[in-house]
Amino acid sequence: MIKKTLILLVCTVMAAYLGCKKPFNPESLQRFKSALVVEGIINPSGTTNIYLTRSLDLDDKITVKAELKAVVQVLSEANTAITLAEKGNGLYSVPQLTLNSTQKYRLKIKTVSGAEYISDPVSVKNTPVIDKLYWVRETGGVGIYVDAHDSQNNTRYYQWGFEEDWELRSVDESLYKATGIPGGKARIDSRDSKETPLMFTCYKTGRSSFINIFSTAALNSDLVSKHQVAFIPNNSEKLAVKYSILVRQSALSFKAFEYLEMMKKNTEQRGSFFDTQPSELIGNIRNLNDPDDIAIGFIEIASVQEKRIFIQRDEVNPWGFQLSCSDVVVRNNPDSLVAYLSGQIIPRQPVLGVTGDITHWGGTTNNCMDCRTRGGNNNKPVFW
Amino acid sequence: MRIIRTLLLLFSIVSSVTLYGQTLSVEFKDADVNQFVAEIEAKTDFQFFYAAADADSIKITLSLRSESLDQILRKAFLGTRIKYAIDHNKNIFLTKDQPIVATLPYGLFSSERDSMRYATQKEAEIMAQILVAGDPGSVTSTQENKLVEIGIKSGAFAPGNVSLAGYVRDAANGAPVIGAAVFTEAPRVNAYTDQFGYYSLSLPRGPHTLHIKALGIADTRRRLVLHSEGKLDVEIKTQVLSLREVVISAENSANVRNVQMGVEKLSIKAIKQVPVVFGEADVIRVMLTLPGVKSVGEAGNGFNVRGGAVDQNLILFDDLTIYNPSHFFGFFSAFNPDIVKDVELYKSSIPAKYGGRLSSVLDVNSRDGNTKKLSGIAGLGLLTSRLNVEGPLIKDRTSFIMGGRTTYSNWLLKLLPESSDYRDSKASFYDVNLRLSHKANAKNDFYLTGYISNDDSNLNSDTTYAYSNNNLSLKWKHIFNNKLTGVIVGGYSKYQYNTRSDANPVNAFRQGFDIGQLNLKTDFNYYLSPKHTLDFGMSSIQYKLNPGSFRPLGSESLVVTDVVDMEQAIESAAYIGDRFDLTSNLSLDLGVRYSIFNYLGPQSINSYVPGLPKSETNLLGVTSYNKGEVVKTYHGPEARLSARYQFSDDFSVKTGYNTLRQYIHMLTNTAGSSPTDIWKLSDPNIKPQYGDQFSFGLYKNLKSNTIETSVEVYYKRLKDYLDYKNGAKLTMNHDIETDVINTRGKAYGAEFLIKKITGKLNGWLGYTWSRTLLRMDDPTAAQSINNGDYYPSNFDKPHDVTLVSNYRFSHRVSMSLNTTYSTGRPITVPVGKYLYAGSLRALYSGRNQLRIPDYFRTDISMNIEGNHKIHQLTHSSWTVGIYNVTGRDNPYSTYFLSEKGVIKGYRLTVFGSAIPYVNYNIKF
Repeated sequence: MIKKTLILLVCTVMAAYLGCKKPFNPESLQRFKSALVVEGIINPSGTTNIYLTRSLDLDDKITVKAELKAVVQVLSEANTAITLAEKGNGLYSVPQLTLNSTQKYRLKIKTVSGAEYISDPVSVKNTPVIDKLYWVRETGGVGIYVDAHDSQNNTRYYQWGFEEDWELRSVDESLYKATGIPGGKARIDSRDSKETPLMFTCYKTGRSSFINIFSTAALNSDLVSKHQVAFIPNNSEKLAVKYSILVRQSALSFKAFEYLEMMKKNTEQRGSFFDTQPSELIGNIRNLNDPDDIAIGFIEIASVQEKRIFIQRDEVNPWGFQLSCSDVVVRNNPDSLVAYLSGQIIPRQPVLGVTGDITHWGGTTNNCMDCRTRGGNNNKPVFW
Repeated sequence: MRIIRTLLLLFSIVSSVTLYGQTLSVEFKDADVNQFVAEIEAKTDFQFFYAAADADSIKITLSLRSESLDQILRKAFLGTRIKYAIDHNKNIFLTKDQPIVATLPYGLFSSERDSMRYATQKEAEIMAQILVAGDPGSVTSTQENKLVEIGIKSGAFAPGNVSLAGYVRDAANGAPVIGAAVFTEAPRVNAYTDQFGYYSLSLPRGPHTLHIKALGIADTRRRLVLHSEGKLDVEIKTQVLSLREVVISAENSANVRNVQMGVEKLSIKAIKQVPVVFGEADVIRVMLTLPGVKSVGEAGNGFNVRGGAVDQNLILFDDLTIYNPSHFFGFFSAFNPDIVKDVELYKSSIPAKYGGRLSSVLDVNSRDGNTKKLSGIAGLGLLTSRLNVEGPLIKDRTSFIMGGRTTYSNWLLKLLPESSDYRDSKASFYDVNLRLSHKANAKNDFYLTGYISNDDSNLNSDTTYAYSNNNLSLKWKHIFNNKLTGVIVGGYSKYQYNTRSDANPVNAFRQGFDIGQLNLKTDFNYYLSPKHTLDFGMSSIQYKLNPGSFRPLGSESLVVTDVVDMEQAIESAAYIGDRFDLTSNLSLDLGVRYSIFNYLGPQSINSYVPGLPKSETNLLGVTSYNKGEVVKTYHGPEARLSARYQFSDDFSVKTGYNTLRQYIHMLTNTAGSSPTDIWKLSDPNIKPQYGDQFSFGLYKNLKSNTIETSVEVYYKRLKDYLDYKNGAKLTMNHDIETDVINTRGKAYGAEFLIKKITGKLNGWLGYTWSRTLLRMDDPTAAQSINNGDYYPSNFDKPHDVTLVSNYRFSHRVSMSLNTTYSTGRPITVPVGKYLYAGSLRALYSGRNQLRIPDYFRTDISMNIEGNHKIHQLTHSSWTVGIYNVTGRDNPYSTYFLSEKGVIKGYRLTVFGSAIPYVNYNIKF
């Protein structure tokens, strides 16, 4: 008992001691002029996608404001221009570029308001292939790792991003549905057989939301070993059935690496007692007429290497994912069956009485019967 | 004659004496005091002592029957200015205004017992023998009322001054009493004891009363007759303290009388009273309660004095430079409270003997070991424990003190539940002190100090931070003669840190930094005349600095060893200062220091296109220098001027102007200074920092110097202070000059302080209004921070109120209360947001444009001492307290994260709830 008390006391002290965090919402500073945000990479051997957005005020309700109707061009040293096509939502794209690896190129953007931005000249970098993309079962979940190397020792700075897809399944096929009838009553009908599989199997997709960069500059060979690109914590629905991840690897210049590292420090690595102070970012794209107007983002030209792997649930067993379902039983009469009309619960099977009549309808909460309510969609990926 | 006898008998008086039941009847009508006295003396065997002049205007009309003498006296002098006192020997003393205050019962202290004789002899006896000039021995005086004769007696006193010098020591353990004021009132001649307890005065031949006032002791005095040059060592009792008042601050009237301003001195006793987190008395945290001293927050190393950066404080521990005064990320100070004797902070007038830093000098002095007997102290706290042992090696000549401190929080962290984020944290540190003091003879003293502090911690991460201070110094004090003393100190200080991570064997690394300094310093004190005291000396520091190494850890690691070139330099200085008493009211302290800095090879130095930013693109070339070759020399004079005009005994005005140079810089880009910040020497591309400060102050003491009040204002400028560029990489940077920018700073403020030194209730209340602003003014910098405008520094907290108080309920129980309020510190917050790499991110623009919420905290503690029986084997005491009683969660910092695609603001609190603590100390 005394020991317990002591431990409790110590824990209280240590918890207080080691700091705690609480939400903080400062008053807004004066309005800051919205900056152009340029994200993307010029790919010399594939599709080049450049996204143009604008920075927002901190208290804006929207999360993204696309920059539309801009003219985006890749300029060679001889000033020949390749114009990217506007695909909507701020995406500007060109399927294939032919770039000379001995030359430098610049990105030029003219916004609809007439502001012209130009990047510093950038040379073409080659990205080594991903040697290995693999997963490791760990106590906290499943880690996904890459290995890569450059035998020429030229790459040194790497960046990764990923897209992930996973399958969702409901606990049971939904064969019945409730239909409203006049007089505020309901009855149970069979469900359209085309809808049943759509409710049973769904797919979800996601993409990386953090900056993942690594430098081998301090190592004696340009070797990336077991670098984590993603982590699926135990019990995550991502591994409830089957999971796939596509990892993209691209080479960075030292400057771009520094830029992204700073952005990462500013926005991801905070909350210790010895944080470096956040600071302004200076990218390589600036306004032609106003050198203080610097766009957010760092333009690079590098090929993109991709690799995909799949993970099945039975490969990582035991996996703790469990849907939390509640079962109900509703008396089979039109007044009571109204309970199924809201869609929160879905009729699952009839309950027969001693005479063989349906006395009740058993039902289950919709999250377990309709995977679409869990944010899934029915677009099966082509690679599935 | 009666008066002289009165004086001689002062110490034997007890105020309330029973008169053995004797009563008498008296009848007076308009009688004068002489008639009154004659009558009483005739009727009783009591004898009166008084100055006739004091009583000549008094008329007594009184008619009493069978009254006690006490009552008769009380009624006779009721409503007059005459006070009376009666002693054991049936003497009655009449005095004007001030009654003769009874001291402790006579003979309480063994040293006084033998002088009981004098009480009955009623004549002074010459206690000390006449000394022959040149006799190395000196007189030790332990009693207030012994008349001490010094020098060769030669009939009538010859005109002219002779010098008197000696040590002031603690009678209990022989420890020197530092900073004691030793003075005579007519003529007014004063001196302060130095760090060895040594003083020297120049006095006219003849009788004098020497007053001694010092920190932690009761005021005392010695009567002496000075025939010729001589020595007088004074032993004083400090135990008196626990039975009388608790003294919190420096000499009673020193703040008014000292020429220097902006000096704060605290004894370890005062420091131990201030409640601190976990109950471990903390020198640095108590400093933070003084006006003008601030820090960024509860985590982080060091402190900021009057707008100066952390690296602008010279922290000396027995003359050794301490580069990192903190343990465990700044939560504990690296000084063991049981070893420390006192702490002095110079924040305004920095004496010429100190140099090399711009803002302040924190001088931490350790104690000498007990020269009389072996003793020790052990302390147990929630997270740390300590043990100190001290004692004589050769009685009265050589002593040692050794102390150690360690933490067991590592073990406690393991007890945390598995779900806790901090279970894998590690916190271990220790420090060890050793000090040997040896008195070779009356003229030579030697001191050896060794100090090691070590930390090895991580906070919830796979990177471990380890750092250590290692220091050793040897000091020799030599007395050439009564007028000239000298000190030579040689020492070596080393600070190093390393961080290591072995989470991924392929990338496992160990990164290190170290700085070592070898220094030799001489300081001389020359008492030229009663009006002039000269200080002069020279110092030299050799720096060897390894700015960074990055090495593989373990056989699997592919990390390539990377080492930034070692740096070497020598910083030398010579100084002279004159404390000059122009008149009895006006004193000047004029000092000049000349410092010279040589940056030495081997080194390769980048040169850049002049007038353009120092960057890779503007690199002109690299020059190589051989070993020992002088790469660059910086030098210049520094002025240290202060003046005091004393309008009265308790009111003075002071002013000061200082210039300083600093050749070594700490580079940091975190809000609080972290243990992994690196130091950098000035080189051809990095100019020394330069600072100057003007200050002015008013000092007024109230209620017989028991309440001190002061107002100080200052204006300070900093030039070529090194700030980092946005996104700078400061570690393992081979071309650090490309990542830093010269910054100009200005700081100004007003500090108000009320201090009550004595009494049951003591403490201080301070209010500071101050600003600290920085501006990037380097025309060659590629990027300017906040468009080159002034912006507030991280520790700019304009308003600051601090109350430190202690109330003594009894001799055994006292209670302390601390309250502090300050404006929140500036922070950098986002001005907008943007979507990038799949997440909303915060957009930053200017530095330090907003503030965190204001800081407020109250702490209480209670000190309970065991009984004070002197012959007990051990004495124990308890300290219990609560840090942050109100539980307010004062934010330390704020940060903004992209979490699941949205920006979330957080505030981080270090101590967000009330933290109780208990500490047990045992003395043996």
